[in-house]
Amino acid sequence: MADTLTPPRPAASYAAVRAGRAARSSVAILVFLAVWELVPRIGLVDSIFLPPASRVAATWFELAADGQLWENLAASLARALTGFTIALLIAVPLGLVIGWYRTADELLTPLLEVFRNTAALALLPVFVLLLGLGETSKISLIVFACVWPILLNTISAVRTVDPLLIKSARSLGFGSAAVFGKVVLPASVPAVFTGIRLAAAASILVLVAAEMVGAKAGLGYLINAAQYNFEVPQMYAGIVTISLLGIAFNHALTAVERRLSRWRS
Amino acid sequence: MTDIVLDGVTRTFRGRDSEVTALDGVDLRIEPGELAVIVGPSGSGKSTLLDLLAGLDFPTSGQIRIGGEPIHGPGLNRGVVFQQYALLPWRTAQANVELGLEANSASKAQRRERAREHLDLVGIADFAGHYPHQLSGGMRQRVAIARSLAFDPDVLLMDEPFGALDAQTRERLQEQLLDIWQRTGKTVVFITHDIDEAVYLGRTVTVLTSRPGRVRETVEVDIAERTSREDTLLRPEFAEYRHRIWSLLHAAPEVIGVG
Repeated sequence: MADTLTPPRPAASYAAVRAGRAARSSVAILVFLAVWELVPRIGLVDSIFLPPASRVAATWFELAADGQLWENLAASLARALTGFTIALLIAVPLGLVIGWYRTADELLTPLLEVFRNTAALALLPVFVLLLGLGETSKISLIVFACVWPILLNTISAVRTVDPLLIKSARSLGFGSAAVFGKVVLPASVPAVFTGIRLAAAASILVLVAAEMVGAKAGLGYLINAAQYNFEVPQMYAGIVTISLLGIAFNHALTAVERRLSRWRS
Repeated sequence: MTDIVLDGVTRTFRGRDSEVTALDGVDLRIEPGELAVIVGPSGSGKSTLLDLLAGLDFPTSGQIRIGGEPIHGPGLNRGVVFQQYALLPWRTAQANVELGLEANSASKAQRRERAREHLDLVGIADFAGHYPHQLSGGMRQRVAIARSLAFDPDVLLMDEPFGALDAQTRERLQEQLLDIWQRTGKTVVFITHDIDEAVYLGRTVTVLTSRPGRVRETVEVDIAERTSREDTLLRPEFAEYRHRIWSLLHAAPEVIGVG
C-alpha cells in the first residue's frame, strides 16, 4: 500500500494554506465594511448620520494629509503612554512586594478589589474637581485605570508561582532575594503581562472619555468637536483611529510578551 | 564520605484541631557512601523526612547530623531530586543545571563546563539547549539529577524521583542511578513506595510504618552478584527480600491507643 502514502506537501501549498488562513481571518472585517458601505447607500440609514465606509476613509486620508489627525493622535498617544508608563512603574513593583509578603496581601487585597471595581470613568468628575481640567487630571485618571489590573494580576502572579520551584531553589541554599530573582520574578512574567494588556485596553477607554471634557487636542477631542460641528465623517474617522490605536497597542505588547517568553514556543 | 545519623527525630504538625505526628522517634544511621532506600506507605512521613534532611524543615525534637554536623538549613552538601523534576521552564537544560552552581562562587565559564560535564554524565549532553517542555519525563529527571550532582554534594536526596515515569524509563534510570552511585561514591537517600525499586536499588532498605512514621525495620540487602538487571531480578535472594519487605509493609499496624 506504499503507493497510497501522501506525498510531501510542496512549498507552494504551504503558501496556499497561509493565504487561506489570512482570507479566513479577514472575511468578517470585509463583510462588516461592505455592510457599512451598503446600509447608507441603499437608504436603510440616513447617510448624513452614518456616511458610507468609503467616505469615512476619504475623510480619514484628508485629515491625515493636512496633519490634523497626527496632531490629535500624538496628543492622545502621549497621554496614554505617560499614564500607562507611570501605572506600570507603580503597580509592578508594588504588586511584587505585596504578593511576596502574605500579610500585605491579606491586608490590602480587599481594598484593592474595591478600587478595581470602581469604574474609573465614574471618578472623572472627582479628578476634575481635585486636579482641574488640564493634563494632570487626564493623566491621573489613566494612571488610576491602569494601576488596578496590573497590580492585582502581579500580586496573583507572585502568589501562584509553583511552590515546588521555590522549594527546589531553597534546597539549593538560595536566600529570599535570590529565590525571588531567579524563580518568582521570571515565573510571574506571563500573568503580569495579562494585567498589562488589560491596562492598555483600559488606558484607551479612559483616555477618550477624559479628552471629551475640556481638552484642546486628542482623538477624544476630535470626535467631540466633529460632532458639535456636524462634521460627521470626521467623527467616524476619529473613532476608527481609536480602534486602530487600541489594536496597535495590543499588538506591540503581544510582541514584547512573546520576546520575553520565547521559551514557551 | 559522609554519614547521616537521625537521633530520635520527631516532627509534629499542628492541624486544625489536633496535632498530627508525621515522624515519631526515628532513629536511623546511614553509612558513608551507602545507597539507602526508605520505603513506606503513604502517611509514613517519607517526604517529611526528606524535607528534614534537606534542611527545608526542622524536627520538633531529636537531631539529624550529616557528616557529624547538625543541620542548620539547606546547603550545597546535599542535592535534592524531586518527583516532579522542579526544573525552571524558562531555562534550558544547560541553564537549569547551572542553577545550583550559581549559589557558590563558580565563574561563568566554570559553571558552563561543569553543567556540560554532568549533562554528559546522565547521557543527555545533546539536549543541553532544549527547554524542559521539549524533553520527555525521563530526560527532565536526568536534567534534575545532573543539576543536583553538578555542585558536587556529599549526599544525594531523592524523593520518589522515578514515580512519575513509565516502567521502561524508570528501569533505565534505576540502572543509570546505580552506575552513577558506583562511579561517584556519594551517599544516596532514596525514597520510594515501590518494593521492587527498593530491593533493586537499596543496599539497605528501611521500612517505615504509617501514621505516625516510625522505623519498623532496616533490612540489609545482600545480593551477591549484581551483574545485570535481569540477573539480579531472577536471583532467589531478590524474591526473598522482596517478600520480606512486602511483609514488613503489610504487617498489621501497631496498636497505638488512638481512638
